[in-house]
This record gives sequence, structure tokens and C-alpha cells, in this order.
Amino acid sequence: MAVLVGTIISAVCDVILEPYINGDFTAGGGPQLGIITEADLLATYQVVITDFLQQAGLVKRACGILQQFGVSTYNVINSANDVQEVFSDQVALFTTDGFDLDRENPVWQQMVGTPWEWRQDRTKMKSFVVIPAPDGTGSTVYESTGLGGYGTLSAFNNGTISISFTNAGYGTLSADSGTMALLPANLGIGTLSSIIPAQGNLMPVATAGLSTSQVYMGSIMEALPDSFACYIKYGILAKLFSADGELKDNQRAIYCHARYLEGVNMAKAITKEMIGSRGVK
Amino acid sequence: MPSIPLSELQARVYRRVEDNSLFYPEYQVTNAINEALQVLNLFTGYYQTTLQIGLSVANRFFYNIPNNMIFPMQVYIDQRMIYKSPLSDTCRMVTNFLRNDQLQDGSPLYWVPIGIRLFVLTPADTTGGRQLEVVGVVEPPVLAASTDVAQLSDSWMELIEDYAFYTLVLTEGGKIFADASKLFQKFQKRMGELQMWQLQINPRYFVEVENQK
Repeated sequence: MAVLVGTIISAVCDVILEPYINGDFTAGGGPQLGIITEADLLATYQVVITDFLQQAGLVKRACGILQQFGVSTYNVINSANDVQEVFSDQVALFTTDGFDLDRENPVWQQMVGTPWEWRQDRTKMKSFVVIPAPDGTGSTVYESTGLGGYGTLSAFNNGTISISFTNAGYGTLSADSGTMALLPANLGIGTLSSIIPAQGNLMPVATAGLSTSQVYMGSIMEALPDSFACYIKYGILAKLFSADGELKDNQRAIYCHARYLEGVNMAKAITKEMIGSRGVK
Repeated sequence: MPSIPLSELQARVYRRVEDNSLFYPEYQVTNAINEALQVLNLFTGYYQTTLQIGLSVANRFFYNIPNNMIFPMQVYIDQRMIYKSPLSDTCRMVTNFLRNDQLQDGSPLYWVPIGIRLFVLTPADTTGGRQLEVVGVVEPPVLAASTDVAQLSDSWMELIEDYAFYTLVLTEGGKIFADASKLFQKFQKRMGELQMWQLQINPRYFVEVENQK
């Protein structure tokens, strides 16, 4: 997965006759005619790829979240979209919703115990609720997705730090005897070599979103295989050709939108048939 | 299966655009050909391979899928096939599949894909050191030099030529593109026959009447 955003933008510019010289966006100068700016193109790219990732659900992220006593609502990490499964202490929770809970057990909000259900309705965006609220605070969070770790490394247990880095770690060790705590000042950046499910904690599995809101020409297209880059190109072109302005062209907008949908449908088919339970075995 | 050099594919595409190398520089033609290969591969799963991803680690559940694999289809452990179990089904039926308190003889029985980049072996391998292999569809080779070759069946030649042609003339718009884009309808029909997906629904595409005149 190493297609640069600039390569996609450059291909878009070729189609709208705003080419970079020899298609080389690294030479600088930006689009030549000024019909559209590089910043507009990058913004459109971000809208399109976010939409694609949200619709397709091809790539999923597993992340560790510290389980806390009596706290039932948790936020998912920024780079995740739609929570699909939640594990508590390495056990999968069942999905439910507020309506069912209210009918089955009106005092469910007062309950404390080992979580066995989760829900996403009637709560704020990008958060989920576990039921009942945990009766203990988790001990250790291990995390890795192979695409860089995101989240909070927050816990320690009986003097054993359960984090293994293949490369140097950055942060502050707050103590060197007894119980140790690793307190990074900022989020950890890099690739963790393995993932181990969170022990005593929560681990939502969610569809991937963009891990950063800052996209540059030199950024790598995130979370999608290279072969899907052309569909992102068509998504951008569909938006450009359908918007009022010099580039408006119904026929090409229809075509590009059809191609974008082709990519979304393809990703959905892979998700359902290869990754999910439907279709070819 | 014939090996077709990039130069021959380029020549065939250039013939379709009246050898207009000024309006369609060589890099654009090459990009269109590579895009055609990628899209055909997504539809048909033409480029499949087996990749060794190292040894299993004792009591480890999660393993990464190599980056050049588009999606995994099967996992082998010590050359023994293990069954795929989708995440949603597994979560409903074996809620503790991420714990090592299940009865087992030490060897994983199932692999659970978590998206296309990650999978779980369950139960986790208690001893480790077993060879893991993943079979899946990988990215097609990117053709760059004129001597680079693509292994293609003859029936693909016309598809690639057509695809590259209507991808290039998208730049022109108007009637020229409208006419060329009818080849996309033909492409969709052909993919309906060749594709490996049961659930893939190709979106409807039509050419507006005024563009046909």
C-alpha cells in the first residue's frame, strides 16, 4: 500500500486538463490553469476517501480502551468509524439497543457487573455503551494493528509492564521500582509488531477511517489496497464534473459516479464474500 | 499463456487514439493500462498467490496480512488448511475465542478475518513455530519499462485495450467520450460473466441522448 495522494491528484489533473508537468506533482507549481487549486483537490480527496472507507468497511481496526469501574460509555479512537464488535476481557459482547434494554430491564443503567452486551444507539457519535457498567478497572492494554498503534496505553499491573516494542519507545517512565507506569506525553507513533487482545479491558473492532485530518500530496493513501486508488480518482472526478463551474459535464459526471459506485460495490462484495459470511467459500 | 510486453500494449492503445502522443503522453497510456490490469484483477481475482508470513507465535491470536495482498482467501498452518470463520458469526457462537481457555490440542482450528489486513488464529497456537501461509489475491505487477511483460490470456487483450481507450478519452469529454464510453457498458457486461463475485452489482451507466448526436 504505497500509492501517494499526489499520484491520485495528478491523475485527476490529467483528466481535467490541468496537468502537472509530465504528471510529476513533486516538481511543484501545482495545477497550471487555475481552474481548481491543489488545496481544493486535497479537500475533495479527503471527502471521497472518507466516504469510501465508511461505505466499504474493508479495513478494520482493533483498539484497546481502558475499562473503568462504573463507566459504561466509551469513545472510539479517531481513526475508527463504525464499531462492529466489542470485546471485554477478551470475550465478545452481544449487540443490543436501548429500546430492548428498557423493555427487558428498566433498571439496567443502575447495574454494575461483568459487561455482556453493548449498544451504539441513543449515545453520542463515535461512542458505545457496555452493559452493565464494569465492576472493575482493567489492568493491561496491549495494542497493535500493524498499521500503527492508536489509542491510549494506560495501564500497568503488579510491577509487570506488558508492552514490547521492537524499536525504541518514547515517553516517560514515572518510577523505576515497585509498580511501574509508562506515561507517554503524546500518542505513540510507529508500528507495533503484534497485537494481543486487551486483558481486562475493552477492545472494539471498528471500520477504519483516516488517522489524520492533514493530508498532503506526499501522504500515502491510507487503509486501502493500491488497486482501489483509481476508484478514489473517479470519486473526485464525479464531484468536480457535477459541481457548478467550468468543469461541469453531466455525461462525465455520470460515468465517473458509476465507476466510483463500482469500486464501492466491489469493496462491499469483498467484505461480505471474502471477509464476511456470505458468498463464495 | 502469452507474455505481452508493455510496448505492445501501448502500441495497441495508441492505434485507438490515432497515435496522438501529444495529447496522450506515454505515461498516461501506461497508467491507463496499469489501471485496466488492476480493475480486471479486482473483478476476477486473476493474480492469486500463496505468501508465507512466518511462524506462528505461542499463544498469539492476531497476525497481519502482507501489504501487497489485496484480500486473503485461505490460511494454511504447516500446510494444513484451517477453516475460515467470519468475525460476526464467531462472536455470536464462541464468545471467548480470544481466550486460551478453550479445549484444544494445541493447534489452531479456525482463522477469523478482521478486515483485509488482519486475522485471528483461534484457538491460539499453544506451542508456536508452525509455518503460516496465506492464499489470496495480490496486486498485479506494475508495468513501467517498455520491456515489462504481463501474463495475459488472449481474451483480455481486447478488454485492456478498450478500457485504456475510454479511460484516456475521458479527458476529451463531449461526443468523443460519450461514444467511447459505450465500451464501458460492454465491459460491464463482460465482467458480469467473468467476475468472481456473487454480490457485486455493477452500477447502471447510460449515455445521455444529446451526447449521442
